[in-house]
Amino acid sequence: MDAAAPTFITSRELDVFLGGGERGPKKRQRLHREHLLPDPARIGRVNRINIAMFPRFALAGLVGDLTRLYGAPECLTTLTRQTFGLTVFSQLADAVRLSAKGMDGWRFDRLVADVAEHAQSAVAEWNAAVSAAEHELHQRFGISFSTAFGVVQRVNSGLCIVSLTEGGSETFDADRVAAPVEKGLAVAIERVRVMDSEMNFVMPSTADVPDSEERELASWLVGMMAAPTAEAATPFPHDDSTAEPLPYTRRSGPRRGRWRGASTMTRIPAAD
Amino acid sequence: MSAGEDALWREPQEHVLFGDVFEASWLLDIFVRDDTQLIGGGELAGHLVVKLGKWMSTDLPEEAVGLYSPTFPLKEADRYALAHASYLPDADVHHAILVSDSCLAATALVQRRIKRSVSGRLLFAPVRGATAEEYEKLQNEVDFGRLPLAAHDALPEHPVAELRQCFMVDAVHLKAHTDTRVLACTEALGETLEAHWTAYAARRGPVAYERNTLKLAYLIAGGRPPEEADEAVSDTLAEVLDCAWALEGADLEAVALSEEVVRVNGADAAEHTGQRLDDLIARLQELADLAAQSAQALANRR
Repeated sequence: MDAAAPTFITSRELDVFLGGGERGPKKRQRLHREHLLPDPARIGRVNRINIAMFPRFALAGLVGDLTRLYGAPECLTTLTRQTFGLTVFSQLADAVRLSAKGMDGWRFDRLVADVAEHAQSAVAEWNAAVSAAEHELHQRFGISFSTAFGVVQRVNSGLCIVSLTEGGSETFDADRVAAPVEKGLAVAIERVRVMDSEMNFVMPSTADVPDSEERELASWLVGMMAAPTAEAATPFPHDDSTAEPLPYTRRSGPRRGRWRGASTMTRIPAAD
Repeated sequence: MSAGEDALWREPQEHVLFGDVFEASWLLDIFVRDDTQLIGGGELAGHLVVKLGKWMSTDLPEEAVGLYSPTFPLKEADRYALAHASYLPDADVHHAILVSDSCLAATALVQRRIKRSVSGRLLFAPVRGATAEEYEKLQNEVDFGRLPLAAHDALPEHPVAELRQCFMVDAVHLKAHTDTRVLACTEALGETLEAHWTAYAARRGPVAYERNTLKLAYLIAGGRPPEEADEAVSDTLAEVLDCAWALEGADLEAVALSEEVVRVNGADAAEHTGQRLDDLIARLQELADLAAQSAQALANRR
C-alpha cells in the first residue's frame, strides 16, 4: 500500500503552518479577507472544536506569489466550491465528524488515519477530485503540488529531522508540523510552488500511517541499528582476577630455577 | 614469572605450534551463562531489510541483519548458540594465543599427519592490552590466570595472555586462517607459557611450586615472613621438583621421540634404548642426591 498525503486539511492545520499560537489564526483570517484563502466548509462543532475543512490545494493561498497570478485566487475559490459541492464531500465530512467525535483532543494524524480506514471509497473519490483540481491549477497557472514522504528520525531542540524515503533528510521547525511530532511518525511533505516561491507543509502520511505498534516496532529497529556503541566498563566488572597474592615475598631475590629445557608442549611427534 | 627481555617473539613457522598468536576479528572469548541456548535463524539480506523498513514506514539501512532465535528451527550444521564474550567495542581485531600443545594442534590440523581429516577444537587464551599499572603488577606478582607477554608491535600495548578466559576454536576454521598468525613463541617464551598454563590448569609445575615452596618457607619461619635462611631450606625442595620436572618433561619426551624413531622409522632399538636408559639413570641419581639433600635440610628445621 503506497503512502499518500492527506487531501484535506482543517483550519487548525493552516493555523499551525501560519505560525501557530495567536498569530496563525490572525494570518489565516487576513488571507481570507484578501481572498487568498477560499471559504472553508464548516462542518460543525465536535467535542468543543469548530471544524472547518479546506481542500489540500488551498495551501497555495499561503504562498505569497499567488497574488501575482491574475485570476489564480478566484480559481482557487471556484475549485474549492466545486469540490465541496460533490456528493462525496458530504460522506467525507461525515467521516471527519465521526472521527473527531471519538478523539480525545485534536490529533490530525489520527483523524486522517481514521477517515482513510473507515471511508476508503469516499477518500479515494475525494482524492481524485482534489488531484483534478490541482492539475487544473498547474495547467492554468503553473502552480505545482508535489509530495515527498519520510519518517521523523529525531526531534532535537525544536527541530524535526525527517529521513526522506527518496534519500537524504530535511529539517523542519517542529512547531510547523501538523501533527504531534514523535520519532517514527510517517510524514508527507507537501511542496507547493507558486512562480518562484515554494513552501513545504509537513503533514502525517495517510495510507501508510503506522499504528502505534508499527511505530513502536520501527522505533525499536531504528534504535537497535543506530544506537551508539556502549562504552565498555573499565575494568571488566565481572572479570576481576581471582589471584590472591601472599602477604610476604622472597627476600633473597628470584630463585635460579633449573626447570627450563623440559617442555612437553612444543614438539610435534613423528607422523603416523 | 614473566617473559623478560630475552624471551623474544619469532615469526610463525610452517606448522601451527603451541604459543602461536593469531589475529582476527572473530577470535572472541565466548563463554556461557544460564541464558545460553541453541538458536536457529539466518541473515536477512540488506535489500529485504530496506523493504521491511518500508512496511513500517521507516528508513532502515541496506545492511544484512542477522535474525536468530531459539524459536527458529535449530540447524545441527550451524550449531549457533546465544552466548557471551568480553566486550571490547573499540577493538576491531582480537588476538589469541594457542595453548593446546603442538601435538594436539598437529593432529587437529593434520600437520605431518596422514590418513586423517581436519577436526576437533583447539584451545586459545585471549591476548589483550592491560593498563600500564596492571602490566607492571603482573610482572611483580604472579597471577596463574594472567601471563604478561613480551611487548611487540603486532600485539596490543602491555599484552597479557588471559589464561583464565580461554575459549575453543573449530579446527576446520582455524585451518582456513593459519595465515592470520602474527607471532610465534621462542623456545624460552614457550616454556614460560607452558609453566604458567600448567599452574593455572592443574596447580602444578614450576610456577605453582615456586609459590608453594615459599609457603613452606613461611611455615619453617614459624608462621612469619620468611628470612633468606628459611627460603634456602624450601629452595632445596624446589630444586628436587626442578629435577623431577626435567625427568618427566625432557627425559620422557626423549623416550617418546626414541620410541617413534624406532617404531615409525625402523631405527635400531638397542642403540636408542641404551642412550635413554643412561639419561634416565643419570637423572634419577641426580634426583636422589637432591632429594636426600632436601630431606636433610628439612629435617634440620624439624
